Amino acid sequence: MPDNNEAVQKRDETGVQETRARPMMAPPVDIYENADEFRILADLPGVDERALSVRMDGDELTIEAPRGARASGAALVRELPAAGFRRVFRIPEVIDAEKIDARLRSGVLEVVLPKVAAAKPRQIQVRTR
Amino acid sequence: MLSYGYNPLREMELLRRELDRVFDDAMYGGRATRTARGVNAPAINLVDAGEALVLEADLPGFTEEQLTINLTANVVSIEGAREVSPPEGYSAHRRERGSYRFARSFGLPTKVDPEKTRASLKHGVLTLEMPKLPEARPRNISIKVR
Repeated sequence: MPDNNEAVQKRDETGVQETRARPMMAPPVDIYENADEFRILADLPGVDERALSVRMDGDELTIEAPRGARASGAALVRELPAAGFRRVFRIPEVIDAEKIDARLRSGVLEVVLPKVAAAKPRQIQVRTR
Repeated sequence: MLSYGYNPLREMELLRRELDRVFDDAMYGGRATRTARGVNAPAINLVDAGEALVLEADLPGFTEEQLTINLTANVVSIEGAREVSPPEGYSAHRRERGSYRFARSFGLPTKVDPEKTRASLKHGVLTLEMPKLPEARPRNISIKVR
């Protein structure tokens, strides 16, 4: 049934949605932890702070940013990826989302995630009578 | 461990590494870009913008003092080192951003003017704008028709 096939094909073509215009790559990160907080550092060269998104949703932290514009002209050497950055982290402890601090300095993002008091380790005093 | 001709675990490991390499090359656009993750050769773009050649290199976390740029009429070399030290009193879950040192030189296809070259470092990207020497610039030759 050629007619039917054509209809199916047409529907497939119109139904296709572009979910991501550009490829994304995971930036390299360092993750540190102490009793009070987590500290995440990510290399994000060429990212403008206005385009950078740092989002905490439940226990998931998402870092996402498009790549800044590259110099235009006839390419002689092209090694740098055009991909933007995206990486998702699952934070194993309860974070005080209000107090998350993020700053971007010379292409390196630093996110500080303070733990809420309940998640901090507690020293329990042992008493003797 | 005894060594036999065929070790399935070793074969698996080799396959895993090969697949990693294939995916990395496909996703990061080639091995040179692995610098971003700690290997010693920064990836670059070099474009011909007509009046000038423009070189860009991803160098996140570098300061101007950590970079040395040398330029002659047709060779540019970049050298640098960055130190990444863990903050005191923290334990590390992941350490993918290493300290690294690199040196790389490029031959340029046209002669440029080192005196008029401008270097800037913004958002962890080094940009070198190297104006071409007059003889290397594109010229418009007008043809008169009688």
